[in-house]
Amino acid sequence: MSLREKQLASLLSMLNLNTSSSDQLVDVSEPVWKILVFDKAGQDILAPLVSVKELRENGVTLHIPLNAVHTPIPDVPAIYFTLPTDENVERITKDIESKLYGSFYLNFINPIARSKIEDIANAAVLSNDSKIVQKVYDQYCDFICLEEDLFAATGESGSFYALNTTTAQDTEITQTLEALTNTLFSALVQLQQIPIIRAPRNTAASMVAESLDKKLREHLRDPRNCLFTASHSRPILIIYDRNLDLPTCLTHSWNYQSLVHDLLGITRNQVKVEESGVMKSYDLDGRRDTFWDGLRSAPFNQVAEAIQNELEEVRRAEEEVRRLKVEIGGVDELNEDLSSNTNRLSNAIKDLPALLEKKKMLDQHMNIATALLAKIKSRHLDNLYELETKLLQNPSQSILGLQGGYKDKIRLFLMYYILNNGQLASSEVDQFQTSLGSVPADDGKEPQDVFKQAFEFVKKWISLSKLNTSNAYSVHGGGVPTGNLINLQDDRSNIFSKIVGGTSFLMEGVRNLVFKKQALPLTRVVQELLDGQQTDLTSDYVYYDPKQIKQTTRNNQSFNEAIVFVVGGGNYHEYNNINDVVCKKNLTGAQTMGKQKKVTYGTSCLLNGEEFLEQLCMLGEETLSRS
Amino acid sequence: MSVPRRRRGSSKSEDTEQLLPATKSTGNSSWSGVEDKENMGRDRTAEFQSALRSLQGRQQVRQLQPNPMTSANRMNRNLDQYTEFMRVAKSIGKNISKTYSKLEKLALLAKRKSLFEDKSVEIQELTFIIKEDINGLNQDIAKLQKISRGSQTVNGKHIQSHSSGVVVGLQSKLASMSTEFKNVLQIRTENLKEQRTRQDQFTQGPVTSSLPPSALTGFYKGSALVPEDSYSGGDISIDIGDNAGALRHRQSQLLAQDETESYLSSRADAMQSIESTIVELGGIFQQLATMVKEQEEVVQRIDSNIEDAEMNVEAAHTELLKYFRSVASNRWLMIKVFALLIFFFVIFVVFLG
Repeated sequence: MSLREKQLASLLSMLNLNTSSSDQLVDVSEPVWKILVFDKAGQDILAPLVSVKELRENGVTLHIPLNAVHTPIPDVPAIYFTLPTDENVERITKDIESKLYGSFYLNFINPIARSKIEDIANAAVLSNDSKIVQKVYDQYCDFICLEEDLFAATGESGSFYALNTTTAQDTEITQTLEALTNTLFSALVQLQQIPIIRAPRNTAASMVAESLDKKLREHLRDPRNCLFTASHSRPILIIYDRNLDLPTCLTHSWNYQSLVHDLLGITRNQVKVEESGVMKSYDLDGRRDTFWDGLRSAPFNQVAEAIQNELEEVRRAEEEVRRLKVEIGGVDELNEDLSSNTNRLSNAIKDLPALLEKKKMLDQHMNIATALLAKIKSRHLDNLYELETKLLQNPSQSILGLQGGYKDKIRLFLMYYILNNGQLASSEVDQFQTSLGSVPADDGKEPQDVFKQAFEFVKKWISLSKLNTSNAYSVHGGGVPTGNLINLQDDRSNIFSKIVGGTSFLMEGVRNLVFKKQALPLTRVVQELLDGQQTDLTSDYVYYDPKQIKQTTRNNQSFNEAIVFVVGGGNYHEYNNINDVVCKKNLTGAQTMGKQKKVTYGTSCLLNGEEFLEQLCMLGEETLSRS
Repeated sequence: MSVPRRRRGSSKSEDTEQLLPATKSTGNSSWSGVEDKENMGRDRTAEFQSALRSLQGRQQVRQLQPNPMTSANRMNRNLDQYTEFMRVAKSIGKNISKTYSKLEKLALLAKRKSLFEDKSVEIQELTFIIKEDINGLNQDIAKLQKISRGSQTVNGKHIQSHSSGVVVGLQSKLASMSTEFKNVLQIRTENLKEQRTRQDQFTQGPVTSSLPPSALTGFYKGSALVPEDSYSGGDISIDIGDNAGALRHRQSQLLAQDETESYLSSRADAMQSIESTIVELGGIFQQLATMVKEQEEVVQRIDSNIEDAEMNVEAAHTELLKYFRSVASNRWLMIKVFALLIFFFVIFVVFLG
């Protein structure tokens, strides 16, 4: 079972008033209608997983935010799904005291403290109904599951800015740390696994690792522990720090999901597309949308082709139905023909809803792809992407004289700067800065200011990272390290600008890029740690085993399952890259490996290139204003 | 100073060594008890109840007067209407699940393919009953909707949306039941058709109500069709029985002639009634579809409404800010005017006074 299935199962049992799914079948004689009350975090968790229709199927007639005005509904059971914060608990006790609903089923996303349980008990006493609160549950659900194997932390505390800002108070830092630990702990409880934890030393990630290790140990030691009862396999949990690899967040990607995220923005699996002046939002849910599920990690031109093919297929099917109609409406035919025709017609009618559904789905992707394409053309992203890929292989590649939006240019230049380890002539930097021009952009910001701020932070970051860690990208310059299973030589060959014949109408005017998977730094780390190898890349990683009494380090273990968690922001590009490389390996080495490797990717927050750049600017501004 | 520190360190490591074996054993013991509750988070109801009990105990000593429900009187009139609504809704829900069990029975009967032991009378009755049930339920739900609409003006906002949610839930249940009913009926018509074609094939040896013995015994018990195929398959043990059966078959042919005719006409009736039922169901469907469409939020996500609300709140906030700024600038003006007044006042008092 994947992480999403597990979370969904526990959410559904919550919606059925904390009965297990087997009981639910018995209780069909009398329907139970209930209402659901959630806070922001609860809403974020539920929204991508459960639609209003599904809520209704589970007997939920009404869903209300916790902070809205509540009017009483007698005799109805109310399910609360909130974080156990002071504010929320206060609100809940108020509702209980005034007996707004018939009974209360309280589900907390994170474990609630004993003192708050007493507060709630006090409210129950004041309401004079000892049975008003039926259940109190810790749900351990503090993460948002976006895909089968992708999750993000709730709240905003885990952004790159929050983790790197110098103005943060100690309390804020410990709060962030605690929130991330809670997220990881919840995911592990849902997965029922106690992992071996690895993280790069001396980073925020290693702090999270340490506090998670502590928390796991406490729970394992607790005699009342019943959270990890069914843990059989032991995966490896790799906690990575964004500070080790900035360029991944700045690059443009060419696969569908990351393009949608980067250009249109995905919030909780929903994308907003402007169509003739009207904003429309589409759900991108792989459970219903088979097209999305199959092609979200595919390169964009492949997606465009697939859309076209599928559309043609649908058209053909429609044509078939139309032809049938004409035939049957025609002159009387032989008896046998008639019966077979009726059969065909009834089959066609049966298939029709599915056909319409498919058409709707394709229309949606068509609209998204058209919107993407418009942006790709106006920002010359195909050229940009090609240049970036060349840059990754050869950092001295010249990047001047390209077109596109100023943010894209800045992202590219920062990458260029980082890949060259900051060793650029200051004249080159100045030249780039002046090339941005001083005209304010459409969003009212001056490109030069944006660049100055972001550049400030990156400069600082490079001087710091030289002290601490070796640059994750240095491998690219140095050549293929021995023992690295990914064949980088493939990527070296000239793979771009091959014009493949038969371009689809969608891709007109955009160069047909031949897409090759290239392992990102984190992907290589994951690969190495899964295989139990050790090179310079992972030699300085801390090792925690919560089940062991004494800290011992066993570096040469190999694993079949990994959970990756990026502290400070991840993106779909990285998520897809890890999946692709691991999957590809599975395909070629299926005979030798036997077992499939599984990687679950999590992050403290999902950031696309522009959001990341914005956070870099905010950080740079801080340093600039202080000096 | 270093001595106590070392001691503390050593005692700590002892602690962990003592505790870890203990967790192992508890882990094993809790295995059987909690395994079925996997994925359900941690139940802390017991903890809550113990807290509740201790608090109640304290309260009893203090003998607090039970505080009267202040809102109860105000709500009374609304409540009557609401409880009436919920009572009706519950009974409809119960009836729906009852009809469901009937439908399951019907599905079982309809899926039987045997030519004989055909319970066509029973099936017809059940079909009729279910049809009536669905019709009745449909009307009940329509009435219920009227009740909930009628009380709109009186009740609170949430009660109203709750009750409309109940109505939609019932409707979708009814709709899914009617589709299932329709499917069952379709299966039934197909079976009937198949039987008819099979009868046409057997015109030389018309169907009888007595099964060949091979069908009564052995593997193909209860099925009249399959043995026919297996004869040609060359099964020797069946072959013997077949000869005997063929004899009996011929004897009963004459008797059976009348039966088949009445049987055929009854089949035609059955088909017709099924067809008419499907047509009626179509009407109900249309009604339901319009009702459900009225709600128009079936495939919505839970955060869609809230985003609108958030935007509204933000807009309000910016408006407020604008107002605040204008007020602030006014304030500056007032302060300036006051300062001027005081300045003149001072001038008047000091120089003229």
